Amino acid sequence: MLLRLGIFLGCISLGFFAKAQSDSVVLKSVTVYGLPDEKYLAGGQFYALDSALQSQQASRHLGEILAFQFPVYFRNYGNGMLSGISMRGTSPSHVAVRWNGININSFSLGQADFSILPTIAFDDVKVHAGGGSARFGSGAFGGSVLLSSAGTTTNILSVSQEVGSFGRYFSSLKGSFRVGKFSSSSSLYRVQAKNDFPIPGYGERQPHAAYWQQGFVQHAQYSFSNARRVTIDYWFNDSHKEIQPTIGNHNSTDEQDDRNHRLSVFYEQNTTQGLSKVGGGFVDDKIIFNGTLSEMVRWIASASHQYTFKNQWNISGSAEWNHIIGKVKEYGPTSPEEDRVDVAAAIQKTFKKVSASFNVRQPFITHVTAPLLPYIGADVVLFENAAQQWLLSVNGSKNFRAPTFNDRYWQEAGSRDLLPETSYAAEAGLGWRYHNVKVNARGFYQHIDQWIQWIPMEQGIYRPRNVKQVRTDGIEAGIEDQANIGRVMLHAKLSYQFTQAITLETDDTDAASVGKQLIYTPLHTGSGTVSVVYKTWSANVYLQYSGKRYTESSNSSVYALDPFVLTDLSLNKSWTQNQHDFILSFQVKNLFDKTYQLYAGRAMPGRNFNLKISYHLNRKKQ
Amino acid sequence: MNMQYKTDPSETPSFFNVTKNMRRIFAVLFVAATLWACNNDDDKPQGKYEHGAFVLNEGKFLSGTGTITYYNEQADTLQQNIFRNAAGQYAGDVVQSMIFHDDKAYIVVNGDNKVEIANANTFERLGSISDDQIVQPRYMEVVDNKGYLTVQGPYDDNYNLVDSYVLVIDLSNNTVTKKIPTDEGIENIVYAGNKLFVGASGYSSIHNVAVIDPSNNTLIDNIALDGVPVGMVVDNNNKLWVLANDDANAKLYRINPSSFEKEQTINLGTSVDTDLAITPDKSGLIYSAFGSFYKISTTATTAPSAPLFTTEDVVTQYGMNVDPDNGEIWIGDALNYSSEGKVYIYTSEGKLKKTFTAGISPTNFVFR
Repeated sequence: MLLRLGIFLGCISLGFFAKAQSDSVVLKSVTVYGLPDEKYLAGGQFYALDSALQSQQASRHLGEILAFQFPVYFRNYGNGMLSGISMRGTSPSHVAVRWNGININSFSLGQADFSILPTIAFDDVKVHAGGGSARFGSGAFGGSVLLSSAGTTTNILSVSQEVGSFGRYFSSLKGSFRVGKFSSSSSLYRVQAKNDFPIPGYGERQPHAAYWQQGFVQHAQYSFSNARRVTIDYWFNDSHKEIQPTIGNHNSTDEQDDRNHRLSVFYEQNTTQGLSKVGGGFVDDKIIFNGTLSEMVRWIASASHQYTFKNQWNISGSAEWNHIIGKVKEYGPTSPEEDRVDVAAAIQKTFKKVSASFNVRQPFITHVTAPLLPYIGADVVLFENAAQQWLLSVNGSKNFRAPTFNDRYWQEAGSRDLLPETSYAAEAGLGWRYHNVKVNARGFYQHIDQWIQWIPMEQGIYRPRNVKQVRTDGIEAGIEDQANIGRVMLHAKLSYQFTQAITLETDDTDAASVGKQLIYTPLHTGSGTVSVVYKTWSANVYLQYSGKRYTESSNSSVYALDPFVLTDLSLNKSWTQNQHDFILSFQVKNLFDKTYQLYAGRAMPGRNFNLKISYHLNRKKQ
Repeated sequence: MNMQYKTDPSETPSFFNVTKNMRRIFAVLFVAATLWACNNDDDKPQGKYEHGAFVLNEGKFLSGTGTITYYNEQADTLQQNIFRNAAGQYAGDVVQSMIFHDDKAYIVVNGDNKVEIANANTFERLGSISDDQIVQPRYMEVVDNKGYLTVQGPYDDNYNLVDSYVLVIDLSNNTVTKKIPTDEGIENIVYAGNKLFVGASGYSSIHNVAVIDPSNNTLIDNIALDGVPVGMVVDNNNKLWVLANDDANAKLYRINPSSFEKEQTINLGTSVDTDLAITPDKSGLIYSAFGSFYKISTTATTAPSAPLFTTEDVVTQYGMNVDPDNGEIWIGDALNYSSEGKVYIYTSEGKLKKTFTAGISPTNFVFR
């Protein structure tokens, strides 16, 4: 099936490649766009994924590469296995993951599994750190991961093939074309791995950890004019995993399939009355664990409008409706259904030296009283001349997370009376840019209340309760520089985060955790990138550091995971002739063969290798 | 039977939930193995773990953090994590039970599907028993240098056990020599009157004790009970006692190990916790219900009216056994199953004597 699709896609791409050659059609970006999230979340911290890393490691899932870029921590349950993000001291369900504006966290579990977010599926990856519920809705406590598959505008055709250690193969095919007012961009990918790496220090190979993953992403748009268009985005991801067991386990048989369909359709128009966007979406998340299917279905409708007054006040208003159906055996014979409606407004104004914004959102959820969620922030230029700039950023927000379907509908345990989790967050940062040098430091604070914890009650029955209160605070800092030495271009970036995440209050069964750091929350995390480019050669070093992580709530050192530094290296060479690019990339992962674990008991591979060859057919430059 | 034990779907993703859920069921149905202190006639000290109490801690499920805690009562010394498997950090995933035999400790690691072997005096690792048929092992008994390992086997797609059995293991070369199929969901195994008794606690309608003849390794009988067998001990008259749990009326059965007859049935009038222990002189049985601990004589015909004592601080009772030297009652508190648990020691009169911190989910106590 996949092969046939591939051939089909290849044919249509090649067909239009010929046409593109003759007509030298260029995909022009249409002038339908609004103010970006960065403006509306003034004073906030945004990170963008380094494009070199994104293209070199497009075959990896996001949970494998983001920690090389930002100070975040991923609890990966083995190599290629379930992966949960932890930002600014919060848990994986406290990060909202959005794809083309649609929240794609699991509505049954709350968190997003980053192992089924293959980097290849996205053209743009951005991360917003800190509280952002007023803009990104439920769950945006520690941050939000913003993914887009809107298609590239530079390549007509891209093909890549990788071969790596432990029986790992990856293939991808991307194509895009434009005919008149219609344009389309498609990608197809497949990764598979035996994943039988030697367990470091154990003398045996990892059993039962093979996986494959494949998918298809389609973006299409029809532009009626420069100011009006319809877009369709569709993404299907299909993943199969043998669940990697703990080190030393024999005879493991657990397997999981994830199948996710995501579709969004929007009509946009940009007139003198403002920018309007109306559309809807459909999300179908299936998990098949050892043959048992759990399915969450979601229908989405939304509308938004943005308007810029003559005096440069930007305002926007939006409404979104989600209808959710939980087809999970544990919810009982009648599948629970829930409606969630969010109404939001935002205002932004750039004064002379100040960009300020205010956002507010009010969610309405079936039988849940959700709080009003404001966000206020500002970026203030303190000092600026030709050589340097000092920028002060501040923001404060109230955030919330709705109870999940598991929390509410799990038979004989879930509770429909649960309150949403709420948080107050504030942060302040100072940035200094001096020529190419960028330095920034930021302090953050968040107080989370009504944190839902499943606690063992009478006869060992677990039930969710709003019992936990957590305070997180810390400092993050980064430095970035770029220099040209002769024909060599050097780029370096380092980031660091100090994070305290302390339980203030919780249930008696977990009394020992009060005053202690949350599990899997390192006090210190860091990341670094060094890139060297010389003509058509380039080398990149990626670093990831994580301090000691407790895996037991009273912070017993018996079960703590040791700190580690991971180093990835990649060497790349490209050949360009007219519109044709060939790129050869050789990667060494875990260069220094470090033994480390991201989740207790789950082995991670030592030094391993990957070879990638890719071909790109580019559009003619205008 | 109320066995709809729910797990924590907010913290762990669903594919773990299902198995974790099952594990809770097992956990609640678990029975302290009848493990007797070894009679070591040798006077000279052989190692630091020659005498004392061993706490088996399951560890955090699916983290591989199961450990063994050692407590030396004479010296009042406590030592955590005394045994490391080949990975070198902990004993393994879900450390379930342990039996001493021939100066070796056989540690049944339920989550890892293997039996780890340690030098009983030093707890140095000697190796492990692994076999494709070892799937969710529970308890082991030894007769004539043959290990009899209860194995619950794999689940079907609906999380029902479908193929439980006892594996016969030749301990001279640690290989499986025979599979004896039983009813589903077998747990504890006890040797009495030259027969092996296996509690099939299957959380279906199967409530019986299987009888295995170790002379020819065959299943020779099934003793049907009214209630789920959750604990078995052997008394001073070499009679088998089985605690059979039930929603409202658990029962104690005295069974003749030769005729397999139920000679006595005592209605307890309540549901009970899933442990049965015996006093050092083997004339009294200890069981508990809702935090109250009861002592009943092996000659009694009715349930005791008042408990021996009631615990106050235990949050999540998870394991119980009686020290065969002094009759002290050991209770494991698993708290929330993911942080370090606690051990409470009560005197034989029911006075709290000591508490200490053990590993995660203390499930079983072995005395030596």
